[in-house]
Amino acid sequence: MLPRRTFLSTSAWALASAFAPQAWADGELTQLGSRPQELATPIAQFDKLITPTPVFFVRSHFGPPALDVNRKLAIDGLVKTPLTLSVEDLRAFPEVTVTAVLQCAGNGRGLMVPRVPGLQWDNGAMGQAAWTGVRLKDVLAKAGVVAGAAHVRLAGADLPPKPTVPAFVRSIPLARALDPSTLLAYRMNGEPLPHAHGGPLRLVAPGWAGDHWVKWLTALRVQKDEAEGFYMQTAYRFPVTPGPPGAPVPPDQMRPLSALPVKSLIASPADGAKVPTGPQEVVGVAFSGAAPIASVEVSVDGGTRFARAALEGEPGVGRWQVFRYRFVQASAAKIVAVARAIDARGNEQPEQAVWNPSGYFWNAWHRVAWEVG
Amino acid sequence: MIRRVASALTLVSLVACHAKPEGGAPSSTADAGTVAAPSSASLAVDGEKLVKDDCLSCHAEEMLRQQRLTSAQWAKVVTKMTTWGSPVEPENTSPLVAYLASHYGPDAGAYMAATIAAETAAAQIAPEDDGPYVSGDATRGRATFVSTCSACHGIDARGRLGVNLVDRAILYRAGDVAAMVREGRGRMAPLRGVTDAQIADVIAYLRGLRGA
Repeated sequence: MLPRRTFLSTSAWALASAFAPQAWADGELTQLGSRPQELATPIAQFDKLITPTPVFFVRSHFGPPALDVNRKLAIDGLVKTPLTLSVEDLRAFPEVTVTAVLQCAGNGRGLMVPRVPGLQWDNGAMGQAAWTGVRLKDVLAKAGVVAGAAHVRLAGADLPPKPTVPAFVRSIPLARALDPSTLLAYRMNGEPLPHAHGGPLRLVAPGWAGDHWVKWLTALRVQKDEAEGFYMQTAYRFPVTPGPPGAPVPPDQMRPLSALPVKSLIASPADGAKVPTGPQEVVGVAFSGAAPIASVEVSVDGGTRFARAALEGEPGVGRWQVFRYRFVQASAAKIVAVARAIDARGNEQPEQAVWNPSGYFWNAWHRVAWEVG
Repeated sequence: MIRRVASALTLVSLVACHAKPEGGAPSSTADAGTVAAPSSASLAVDGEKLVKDDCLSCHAEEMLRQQRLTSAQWAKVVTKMTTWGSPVEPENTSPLVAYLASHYGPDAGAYMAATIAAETAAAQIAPEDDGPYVSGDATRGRATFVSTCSACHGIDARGRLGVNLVDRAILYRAGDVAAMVREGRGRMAPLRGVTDAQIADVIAYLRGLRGA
């Protein structure tokens, strides 16, 4: 009889292989959508601290608006002085660069069982970039936030396809807006922010899911209440308490999602690869929206024994580090590697992800199998 | 009875969308209200047409093909999309759900997404030279828009039966606009007889509109 671990990992491999037997040439992305563009980063790219901009995943609800580098940002609501600022005007504020993970809340949706509607991402809706811009708190200080303010409503220039489709409007709590890592960003990996990624200006909220990182940003409103509308009141919500997979969750048992749960992902070897006998290396990335990564553990026996991997890069909230685990496999074998991360607050990456009706925040232990010999 | 009337009105407005479609009346569009026949072959044909008419104005087809949903899940999706403005007629809701569930159900097998070169993806949304659609006249474009496009796209161009045309990246890719207008999309019948100058004029008009 097979030990339980072996059985679990074998079936997980079969599932993963059936879902995404994907092969990429250099410089390619996976195209989950053409209109609007919905592009996934190949998993092999997650072996480095910075995801190259050309292969950085692309996702939006309605596609980019017309390219207009002169779009202005209006700031109003509960402020002493409403402002209208161009990207040029923002250069009056101190410039800051933050390296952070951008991950779509729905990354891994396609791995949920039972399946749920939406873009069927497997692992490619994430990336890490160096984001350059100005601190939102500096801009809000200039506008002068007045008493009673508690939320900042964010809207971009991308219009829904019909007036009957809800506009993509989000809000963040004022405390999140005033966090020194929250930026109005106009550069990505040192280049002007590309149109596909929200240029000329987007919000950057390190540690929080991508739905907060509003692209083509044109309107900030400081207000008392959370923003209204479908994308706050219905979408981007997560069950307060995990329920059985497939079971409906009452709306009053859902809360807005925010910080990314702790996660690690193996970039290499690729699932199903063939590797010669001798030195083997498991490489990937790990991050958490709650705290820096404390450790990443790797198993190469399907999840029975784990050992600590080496970490590279600067630790930070919502910033990924590369992990690397080396071992020698002298004889032919099938290896099943499993990675799991723990953050500095003690949050552990779970063996199973929490199933939820919209398929957000997949972060189960990642398993990869390859043949040695 | 009221539903039938509403349906007929929709068809009238569809026909009104395009003043002079090449080859007479847009019969493929006018057939949309036909009651589905019971055989599975005709269900498949009708299903494809329902998808084209009721989903593909806003979505690319791969958005449907990658789903693996039960009939109950598809029914919820179709209800949500109808609320959001999909023009599916009430009598077509069940056939559409049945088609989607039979093609993109939980047992439909693995979905293999296409790959795309990063440069190709970037080029797909980058502004292009206007080519033969240069120097349009916005005033003439407004008149053409009002007479030919506004019944479906709304007098403010913000979308109605057709999609929003304000502040869209595609307005700076005139060749794509021309191809789409001449090939049709979703319920929009092809307008093959439209001239380059008419397209240039309408683009010039639409570029002057702003969202917020």
